[in-house]
Amino acid sequence: MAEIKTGPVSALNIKGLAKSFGPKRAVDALDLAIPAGEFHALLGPNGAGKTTTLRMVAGLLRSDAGSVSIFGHDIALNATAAKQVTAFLPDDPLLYGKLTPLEYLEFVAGLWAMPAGAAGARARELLEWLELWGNRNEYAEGFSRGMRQKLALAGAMIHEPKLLILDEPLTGLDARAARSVKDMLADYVGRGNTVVLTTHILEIAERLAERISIIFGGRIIAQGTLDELRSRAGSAPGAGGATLEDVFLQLTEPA
Amino acid sequence: MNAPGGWLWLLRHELRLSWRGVGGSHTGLIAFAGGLLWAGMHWGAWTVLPGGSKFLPLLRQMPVLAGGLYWLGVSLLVSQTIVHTVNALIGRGDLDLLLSSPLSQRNIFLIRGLSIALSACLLPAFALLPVAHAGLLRGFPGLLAIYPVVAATGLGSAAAGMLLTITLLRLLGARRARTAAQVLAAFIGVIFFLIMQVPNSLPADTKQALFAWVKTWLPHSGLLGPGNPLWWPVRAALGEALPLLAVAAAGAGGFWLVVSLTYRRFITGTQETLTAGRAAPAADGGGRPVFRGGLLRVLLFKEWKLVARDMQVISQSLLQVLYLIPLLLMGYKSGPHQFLIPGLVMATSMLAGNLAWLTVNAEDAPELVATAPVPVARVLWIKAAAAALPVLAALLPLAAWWSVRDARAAAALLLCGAGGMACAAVIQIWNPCAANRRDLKNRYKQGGPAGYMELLSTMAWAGTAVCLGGYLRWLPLAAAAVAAAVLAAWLLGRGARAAVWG
Repeated sequence: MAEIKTGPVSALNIKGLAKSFGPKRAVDALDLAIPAGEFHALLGPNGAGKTTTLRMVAGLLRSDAGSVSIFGHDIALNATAAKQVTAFLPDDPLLYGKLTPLEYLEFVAGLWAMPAGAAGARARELLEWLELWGNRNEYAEGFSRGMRQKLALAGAMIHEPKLLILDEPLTGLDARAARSVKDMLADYVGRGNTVVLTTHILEIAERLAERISIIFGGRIIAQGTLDELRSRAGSAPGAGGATLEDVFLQLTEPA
Repeated sequence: MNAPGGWLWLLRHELRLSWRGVGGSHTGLIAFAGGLLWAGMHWGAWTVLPGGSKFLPLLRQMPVLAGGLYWLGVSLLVSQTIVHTVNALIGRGDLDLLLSSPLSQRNIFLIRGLSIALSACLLPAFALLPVAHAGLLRGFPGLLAIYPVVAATGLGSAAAGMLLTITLLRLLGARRARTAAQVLAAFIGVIFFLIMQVPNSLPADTKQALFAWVKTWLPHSGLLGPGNPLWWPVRAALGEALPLLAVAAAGAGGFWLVVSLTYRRFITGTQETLTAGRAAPAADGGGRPVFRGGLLRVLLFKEWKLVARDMQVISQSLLQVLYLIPLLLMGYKSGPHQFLIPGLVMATSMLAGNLAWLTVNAEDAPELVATAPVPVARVLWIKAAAAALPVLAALLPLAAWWSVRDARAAAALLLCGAGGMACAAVIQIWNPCAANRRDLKNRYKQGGPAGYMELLSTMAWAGTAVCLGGYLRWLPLAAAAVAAAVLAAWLLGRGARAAVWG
């Protein structure tokens, strides 16, 4: 694989990461470096190892081998410091059915030791942006899939993590909500933060991501900007011929 | 009928689900053990029945005792069918699928009711059919009437249970009805026991006067005399034609009536409440939210809010108190150390265990907590404190009030109550395992050995309380049992702790 270009500080640096479930190797000596301030998309077919990788990065799953460091903090050796600057939004986030959005955000802010005053203001800002302010005093148990997803996203963003890891963040969102989430993420990266997301919707990766990694069989098989990937797949850069979908399908074609 | 979509096909589907619910993965073993027991009961009935020539006419003359037992049994069956109905109509969550299929809605409801009735028949059939079979061989063919009586009893109990549950659903909506039905079922289950305990708690002279009055009144009264239709199920089971006809008609007719009258009502009215969202609590001013800060505070308040808003937890705790009442009634006359303080110690310990299980294991958003920059062990200890503090808050005033009357009893209550509470919480921390808060009821069944260690610790602390009341020489044994439970829980939880704590 080509030498990975990294900035002065790596937001995320994964080296030789491996994880097996029984005989199946879900993640196989995976290397990935993402510089601070980048919007990075992780693409791959079902079962490629995307979620397993992200769960190891978030400290939810222990790796068999390799290391993960977030802004220089190793997730295995210095978990608290690594987690302090990170937020992870799983693909099916679990919320507290009997807490209201405000109570949920208060709890999350408390977990990340945010000052209470700043947390309250940020909670209002996020809920208004995600159009949940009107539901702020309702229990989350009555929320639709999309509303739950938005609330979980608000929870991930309330403590302003420097690294935001999102697993399929747009699942279940309607077009309007998806648009506001996309705008929000672009703005977030614009302010110098780093976002890593997995998605099945290639258009999101195409439009938002600065660099894309394609993961297949537990390894990164291609990485680069959209143009770099196109050229790698055999299309002329900027020719507009091949879409990311074409590139993706060509690279992940079963042998 | 038997083809896919027919009512027999649907009934078979229902029964298969019920059977799997009963047996789990051990259905074969349960069927085998049940078969053995049933054969033994046949043998028992066969040996007892020759005396029936004297016993059966007496039963016909004085059916009050058997009749009383019958209605006690029916009350338990109704309580059981309420739980079944809640599961069948709300819990299983397959009604949307069934009702959206081209099957007749009335049939779906009827079959579901029949499966509830069949489940209700199971226990009485198991207990009474050996008598019918032995009766046939011993020359009492009239006892075969037990068959229709059992069937009618099952149908009637199912009808009563379904009617009560659907009424609750209509009045309270699905969420609250589920809890209310559980409380009602337990209350019905325990009420006869409570009533039977009432005479024991009366002063001796009042009790004697009461019995004398009942004795003179009983045989002559229309209400409790043998002719009263209340006792017809007993006479029907002995083969009397008119009572048999009446009981069969009442059971089957009642069932048919409930199904015909309520199915539409359930489907059109109640089904909507199952998916409807919860009404919003009162809105605040709409200004900037005021948050609490600090891990300890937010975690404690989050756990307390979730427990206080979980009706199942509240009802479960109330039920534990309800089941404690007979114990307290028994302890009313004997000293506090015999029943009362051990009973309260058990209640505190079990309540703390329930709450600690909820706060430590039944975390709704485990990934959120796991990705937070806080050591897991610290979170778990705060969660255990969230479980223990409310129990301690209930225990302290009780002990304070008691200390004025009996300082020794108060000290025993405080020591053993707090000990039981602390051990229950610690056992949960040492044996963390991810669980769903809905499984609170089955936590001992699913929790593995840690649950049993918690029960042992609870019993041992109650035993300690008894010992402190005057059996001091047994105290080392009780203390050793506490230590054994705690040590075993610590050893058993090593794997789970390593996985969760890292």
